[in-house]
Amino acid sequence: MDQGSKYNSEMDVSQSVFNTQAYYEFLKNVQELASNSPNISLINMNEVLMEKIKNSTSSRKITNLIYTNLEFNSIIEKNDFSGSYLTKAQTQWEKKLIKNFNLICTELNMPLAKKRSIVEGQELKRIWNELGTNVSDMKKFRPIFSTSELLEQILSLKCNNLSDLAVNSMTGLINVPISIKSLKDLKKQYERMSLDFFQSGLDENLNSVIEQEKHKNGVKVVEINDVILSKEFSKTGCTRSLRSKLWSQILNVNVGNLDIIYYNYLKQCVFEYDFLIDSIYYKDVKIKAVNDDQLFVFEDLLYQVLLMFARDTHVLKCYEEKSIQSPKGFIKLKNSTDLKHHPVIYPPNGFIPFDGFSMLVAPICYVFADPVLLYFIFRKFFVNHFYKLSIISSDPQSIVGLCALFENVLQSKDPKLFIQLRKMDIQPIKIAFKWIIRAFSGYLQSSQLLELWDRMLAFNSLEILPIFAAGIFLYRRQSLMSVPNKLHVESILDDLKSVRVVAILQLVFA
Amino acid sequence: MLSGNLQPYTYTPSTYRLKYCCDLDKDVLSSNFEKRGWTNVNQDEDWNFYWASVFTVKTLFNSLECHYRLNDYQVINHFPNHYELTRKDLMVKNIKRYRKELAKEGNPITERDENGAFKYLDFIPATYMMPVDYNLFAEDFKRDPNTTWIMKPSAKAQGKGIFLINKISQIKKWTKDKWSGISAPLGREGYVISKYIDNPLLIGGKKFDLRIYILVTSYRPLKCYWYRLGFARFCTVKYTSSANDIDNMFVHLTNVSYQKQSDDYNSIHGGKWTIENLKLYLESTRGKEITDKLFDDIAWIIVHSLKAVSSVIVNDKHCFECYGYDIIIDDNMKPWLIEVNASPSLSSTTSSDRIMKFKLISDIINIVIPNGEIPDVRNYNKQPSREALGNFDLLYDEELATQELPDDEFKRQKIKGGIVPIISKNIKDFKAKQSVTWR
Repeated sequence: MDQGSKYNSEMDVSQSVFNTQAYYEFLKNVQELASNSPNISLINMNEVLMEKIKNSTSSRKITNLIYTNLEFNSIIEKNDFSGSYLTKAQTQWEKKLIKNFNLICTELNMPLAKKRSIVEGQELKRIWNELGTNVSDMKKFRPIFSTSELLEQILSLKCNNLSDLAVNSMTGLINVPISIKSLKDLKKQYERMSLDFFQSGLDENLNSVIEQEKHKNGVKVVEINDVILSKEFSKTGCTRSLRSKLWSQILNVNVGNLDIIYYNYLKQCVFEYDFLIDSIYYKDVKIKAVNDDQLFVFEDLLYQVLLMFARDTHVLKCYEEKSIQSPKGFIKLKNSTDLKHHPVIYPPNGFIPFDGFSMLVAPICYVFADPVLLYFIFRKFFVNHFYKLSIISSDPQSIVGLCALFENVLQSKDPKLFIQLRKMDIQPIKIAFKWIIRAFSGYLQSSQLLELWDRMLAFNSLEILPIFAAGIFLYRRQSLMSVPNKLHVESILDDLKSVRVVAILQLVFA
Repeated sequence: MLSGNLQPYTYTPSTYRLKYCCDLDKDVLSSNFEKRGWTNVNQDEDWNFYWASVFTVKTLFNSLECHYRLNDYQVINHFPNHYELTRKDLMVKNIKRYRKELAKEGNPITERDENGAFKYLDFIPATYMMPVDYNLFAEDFKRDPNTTWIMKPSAKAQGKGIFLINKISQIKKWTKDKWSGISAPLGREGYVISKYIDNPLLIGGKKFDLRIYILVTSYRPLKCYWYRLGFARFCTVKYTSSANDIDNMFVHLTNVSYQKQSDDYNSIHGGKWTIENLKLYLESTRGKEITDKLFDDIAWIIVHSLKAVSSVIVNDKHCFECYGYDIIIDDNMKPWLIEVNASPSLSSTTSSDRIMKFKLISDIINIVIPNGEIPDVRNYNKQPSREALGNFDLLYDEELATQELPDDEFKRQKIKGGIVPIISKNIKDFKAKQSVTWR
C-alpha cells in the first residue's frame, strides 16, 4: 500500500503504481470500456477512452495512490547531513535502546525469539480473540525505555556551532537549531482552524443545524473519494459517522484480498514464533490501556494489533533513506556446522516501543470495529506519522522538532507566562512531552481526542500536537500565573478531561 | 435571602434549615445533605426529605392501623408500591396486562408482525412465573429446545440466586407438585424464568449491559427524567455462547457486585464505560442514524414500562423515585428491558463513579426540592426549570405532551392511550419519528 522509495522522475512515479491492485482494476476498467463502446475506432480511441475514464472511480484510485505516495516521500528527511550531530545522537540513542533491551534479556534469561511448538501455536490460535487471558505474571517485564529517558536524550542534544550563543537556553530547553515554522506561517497553514470557519465538535447541540449541513456535505465528499478533497473537508473536523470513511480515504487504506492474505500471514507468524517483545507489549497494554476507563474495552484488539505489528516487515519502509538503523539480532543455527551468527532485524518491524506505546493504537478502536481494517489503519498511522515520535532527526516532524515547536509557540504567544513558569523552575516541555509522545491518547475525552487526530490527518502533520499542547498552557494561563509553586502547576495541568480541542486550537491560531 | 412571595407554611425560609432523614450510610447522600446545610433528624421527627430504604417505605405506608400520614412538607424517595415495577414477576405481569389493554382499545402500537410478535411493544424477553407458569414455559421450551433460559428470584437484586439452564431436566424440580410438597430452600420467594439474550452486542468481544437512571416525580400524569450519565457495564471474561461456559457466571452477568468477585476485576474503572463513550463508538462504527434509533428505542421502552404500571401505582404526591434500568442490546441493535431496580446502588466503586453518583443525587434533589426551599406538595407543579434539570433530560411529561400536541388526530391517539415521548434535546426529531410510528 505504500511505496517507500524516493521518486527521481515521473518514470518512478508510474513504476510505483504498476504493481498495485488499484492499477489492475484500472486496466480492467479500461478494457471493459473499450469493448463496450460502439463508436470506438483506432483513430479516436485515445480521446474516447480518456474522456470516459477521467472521472471514473478506478482512475481516482490511481490519482489517490500517486498523491499519497508523493506526499509520503515529500515529508522524509531532506537535508542529508550524514554524520551530523543529530545523526550521531540517533545512533547513540539506538545503541542505548539495544543495551536496555539486552539487559532485559539477561535479567529474564529469555531468548529474543523462539519457535512455538505446534500445540502452543494451536492454543494461541484458539484464544486469539481473548488474548488477555493468555497473560500470566507480568511483574518481571518492564518497558524498554520510558518517555522521560527519551526526553533526557533530547535535552542533552547540543549543536557545536551554537555552543554558548544559546539564544534559546535563556528560556527553553531545546538547544537544537532546527527549522521550525513561525507563528505567522502556522496561522497561514492552519487557516481552516481560524474562527472564520465552522468547526464540527465545537458544540454539538448548539450548532446542530450546521452540523447536519456539514454531515450532508461530508456524505458527498466520501462518495467522491478524492484524497485532497477528503483532507480539505476534515480540516474542520470529521463528523462521527463519517470519520471511519474519511480516515481511510485520507490514509488511502483500501483493504483488498492481498491485504487480507498478508494479515493472515502475520497472524500465522504470531502463532509460530514467541517473541520477547510480545511480553513487553502485553505488559504495556495491561498497565496503560486496561487501566484507562475509556479504552479498557479494547484490550484484546490491542494485543492482536501489536503482536502482528511487531512482525510486520512492511513497517521497515518508513526507515529507508533515513539515518535510522534498525536493531539486529543474531540467529544461531541449530544442528549445523555453520558457527556464524546470522544477523536479522529484531523485532522484524525494526521498531522498539516506548512506555505507553499501546495508547497510540487504542483510540483507533473507537472508529474501526473490523480488526483487519483496524490493523491497516494503525500501520498507516505509524508509517506516516507515529514513527517520528521516537526518532532523533533533523526532520521538523520528528520528536526533536515537535519539542522545539512547542517551546517556540508557547514563547511567542505568551512570553510572560513562559518566564513566570521558568521562574518557578518549571520547564513546560517536561510537562508537555508525555502528552505529545502519546499524541494525547489517555489524556483527553475520547471524542475530543478523535477531533484532534482528525486535524493531525487532515493537515498531514504531527505539528498539531505541540501546538495544541502550547494551547493548553495558554488556556490555563490565569490559573498558572496565580499559583505559588511547582506542585500547583502540575495539578492544574493534570486533568485535561474537560478540555475542548477545537476551542483551544482556535485560541492559538486567533 | 428572603423571597418576596410569602410561603404558606410558618417557617421563615431564611432561617429554616431543611430537615432530612436518611436510612442509608452512603457518602454520596450525606455529602449532598451537608453541602446544603440540612439538619439530620430521626424518622419519628418532623423531616422534610427522607431517603429511605425500601423496607422503611414498606412499613411506613403499609401499617394500616396507625397509618402514618405524611404532611404537606414531606417528600420521600419511593412510591408505596414501587414493586409493581421493580419486582421482576410483577413488572412482566403489568407489561403483559398493559399490552392487552392497549390491544383491546385498538391502539395501533399493538400491531403485530407476521410471526405474531408485537412490532413496537416486544421489549422484554419471553418470561414466565415459576412455578405457576411451568406448563406454559415447558411448551415454549419444546418449541425451541436450543435456547438458554435464565432463572432469577423475583425479588432479589445484584445477581443473587441467578442461574442458567439449557435442559428441561434442570428445571424438573420446579414442577407444580414438587413445589407444593416440600418447601424448597428457594421455594417461597418465587422465580421468574426468561429467555436468555444469547446474541448480545459485543464490544471488543465483551458483553455488556446498560444502567440508565430514571427519575419519576409523578405517575398520573406521568413525569419522568433521563439521567445522561449512565454507563455500560462490561463482563471481565470474554463472551462465548457455548454450553461449556454455562456455569461460568462471570461471562453472563454484568452486575458489578458480581463481577467484583472475579480476579480480572479492575478497581480503577470497575468495568464501567460511560454512555457518552458508547455513543461515540456506535456512531463512529455504525453511524448516527442507527445509534439515534437505538437510544430512541430505549427511551420508548422506558416510557412504556412506566406507562404500564402507572394505573396500579399509588400516585402519592409525597413520592418520587429514582430507578436503575438494566437494558441489554442484542446484535441486531434491539434493546431489551431486563429489570428495573428500586434502589440502584449508591456505593461508589471508583472515583469517577463517586462523582457521577454525587451529581445524580444532587440533580434529583434539585428537581424534587425546587430552589432548595421547604417542599410543599400542594403547590408543587412538578415542572422543574431548565437549570434545575442538571444532567437530567425530560424524558416524558404527559401534561406537556397533551398540551403541545398540534393537531386533533394526534390528540385522539393520545386519548386512546398513546404516548408522545418528548426528549428535550431534540423535540422536533422525536415527534416526527413518533408520528410515523403511530399513525
